[in-house]
Amino acid sequence: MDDVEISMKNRLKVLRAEQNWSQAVLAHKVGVSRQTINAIETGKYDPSLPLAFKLSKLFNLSIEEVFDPTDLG
Amino acid sequence: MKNSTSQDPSQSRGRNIALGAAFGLLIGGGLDLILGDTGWGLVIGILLGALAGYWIKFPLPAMQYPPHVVRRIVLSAVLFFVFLFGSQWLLNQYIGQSYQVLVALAPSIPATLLGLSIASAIAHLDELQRRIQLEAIGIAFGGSVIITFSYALMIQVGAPEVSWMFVPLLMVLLWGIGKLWTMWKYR
Repeated sequence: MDDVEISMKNRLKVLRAEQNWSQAVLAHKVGVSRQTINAIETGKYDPSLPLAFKLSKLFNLSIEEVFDPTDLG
Repeated sequence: MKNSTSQDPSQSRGRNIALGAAFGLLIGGGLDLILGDTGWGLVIGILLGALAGYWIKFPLPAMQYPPHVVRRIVLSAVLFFVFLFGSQWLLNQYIGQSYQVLVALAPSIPATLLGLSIASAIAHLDELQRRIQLEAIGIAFGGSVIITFSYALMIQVGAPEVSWMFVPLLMVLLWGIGKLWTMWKYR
């Protein structure tokens, strides 16, 4: 059973892999817990706008390049 | 990519068992206090808590509280238990009737401090962990309303009246269960 809302797709895991960062390292860089990064990567949680901006800024990308809202309808 | 999601299973199981036993100690100790200090509540609480911790297969994520907030919670909790057991002991001694209300209410002061410390700690969490806490508190509130309301209806048809102390204990128990559920959901 999974009552978590349908989330946006995102490229966080791929972008993190390109930098060879662990979830803990990325979490530290944006000031959240590793659990939060894991939940975003697995699509169980959509980040707030400030956190989404922080994450995309860290990878020098726009929000749309990290998060894909097409599945939201 | 560095291995980032895996954790030593024996380490996480040991941590789950310790956390479960600590939570069982809290609930069992509370039951003991309400039911008359038999000691069995503590033992059963620790055993059931440890068993539940063993049964939980996923590593329970640690809430990231800043150290000064943890110190405040620990200090408030210690004060609460000192005041609680102190007031119970004093009420069993001979004290003047005019002081009885003050002594009986004394644990409410550190309980308030503890509540404020926990609220402050939750405010320091990141956005997902705050959401987990909010959902857990919602489950505890809703569950407590349903259970206490149902029991109040049963009292009308002859169920024995129980101590009001069961209400905060029930809320803490449901808060723990709610946290477990939401942690599992966002694991």
